[in-house]
Amino acid sequence: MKGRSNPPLLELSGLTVTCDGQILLDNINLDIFSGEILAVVGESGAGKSTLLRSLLGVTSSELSVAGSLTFEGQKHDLAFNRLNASLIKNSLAYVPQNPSVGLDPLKRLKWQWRQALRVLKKVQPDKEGEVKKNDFSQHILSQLNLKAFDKKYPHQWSRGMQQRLLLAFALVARPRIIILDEPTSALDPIVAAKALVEVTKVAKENDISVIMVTHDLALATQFAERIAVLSSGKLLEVGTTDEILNAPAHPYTSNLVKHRHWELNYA
Amino acid sequence: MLEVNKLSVRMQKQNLLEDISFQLNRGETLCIIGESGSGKTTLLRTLLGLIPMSQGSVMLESQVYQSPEQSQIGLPSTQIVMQDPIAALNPRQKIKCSIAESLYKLSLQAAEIDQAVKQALRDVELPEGMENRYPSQISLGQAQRVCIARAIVAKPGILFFDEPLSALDAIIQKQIAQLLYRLKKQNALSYIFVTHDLGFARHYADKILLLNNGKVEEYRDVNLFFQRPESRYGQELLEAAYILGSLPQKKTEEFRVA
Repeated sequence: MKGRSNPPLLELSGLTVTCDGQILLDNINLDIFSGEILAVVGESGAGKSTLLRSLLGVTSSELSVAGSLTFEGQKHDLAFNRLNASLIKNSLAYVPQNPSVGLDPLKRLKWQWRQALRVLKKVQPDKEGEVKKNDFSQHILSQLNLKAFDKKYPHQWSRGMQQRLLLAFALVARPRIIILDEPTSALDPIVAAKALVEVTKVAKENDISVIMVTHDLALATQFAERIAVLSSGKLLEVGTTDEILNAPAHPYTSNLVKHRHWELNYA
Repeated sequence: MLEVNKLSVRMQKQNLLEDISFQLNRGETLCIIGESGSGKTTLLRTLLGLIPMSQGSVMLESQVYQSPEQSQIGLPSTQIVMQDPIAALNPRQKIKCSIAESLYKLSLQAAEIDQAVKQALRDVELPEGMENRYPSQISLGQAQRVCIARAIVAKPGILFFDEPLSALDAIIQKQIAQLLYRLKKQNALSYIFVTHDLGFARHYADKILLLNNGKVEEYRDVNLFFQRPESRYGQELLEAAYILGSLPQKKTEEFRVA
């Protein structure tokens, strides 16, 4: 795969999360390369959300986090990650599972979009609030089929549209990494499929890495280049999608691979 | 055994369901598929008599229910299993009480009820002693088995399922599906599933009812539907399922439950 000679963009090493002596994540070592799509797969309770939260620096105060994070060659101690809501927050974008939690219900969508741009200082909207043509932001909007905010509020848009807008928020920030948390579970399949195809395409074009967290191995194999399998707080294995599908190293993974589709016989 | 004829449901001047017709024979499995808001759950609730129908008729075991006077269809020959098993069980009731509840109407002796509960628990492959626990003390998969036990203990003819597997992990899903298949064979049950999982529908159903905006988009044999959907909407849905991996890309040799 490309870029393998380069050092990874982000490297988690020895990530351990405990809560009252109970180990939630056990010595996780995981890296992601620039521009790659990595899926983190696990069943409920595997520690997917804890992993995400530690990376984002939003773990709750009862948890103690240890380990280090190396981003673009610079090493950070994860124990301090929480103080600042992630030390690398300008390089990370997070798209929540449920789009309605990411939007302010009382503000018009157009306002929220402009606010995002303002905060990012990427473009200055002129008086009409229209951004200049051929801008990156305009490109993102058209890529995700978002036009005409009109004077709509979030609840006047479908969930699919809301999710697209959040994806646009994430992309327009030009992060190095986008984190998608269960990207299909709140959406209907037709909408979810389109949104995922679009966002991975834009991410590829702009060399943005994608971390997709999901319980659905079948979904992961469709989009990811590499898959990390998480179970009961342990990272069982990381491999290319082909390796995971054809030569899983761990029995848990092979069981998961076997059961990813509905094919079993009842005899 | 179930025949739905031009069923419509109107509420607050909105058509929630329009002109729904389908039939279900004994021992058959029907999967109702469609996106959220398409009317899947409304249809299920209407068939259970929880929502009054505005037009049309339902024939259940040679008894005809017609709108709008009679909408109390359902019991005692239908039972439902819901999506979230923990939410479906009373947290302050022991498992055996939850299961026995569907028997209270039948004026049985206490010993008979006890017997039936034990048998139901055996049927769903739960270990002895489970009946004295509370819902908080069992796992999600076990709780779903309890809900199934509660549904079958009253010996219904049709079981309704509203996304019965989507809260469960993939491997547990398959175990429950296997259990349901065995129960169906043993008791000649008919199943109606509401599901968004096309992979499951292709695998498990005999017939497919595809809803879109409260209307029937397609009502066909499962193999015909998955080979070539007739509607544009059905095609889009299948395409998305292939992209998302919920249907295997290349068909593994067409598996059907014998």
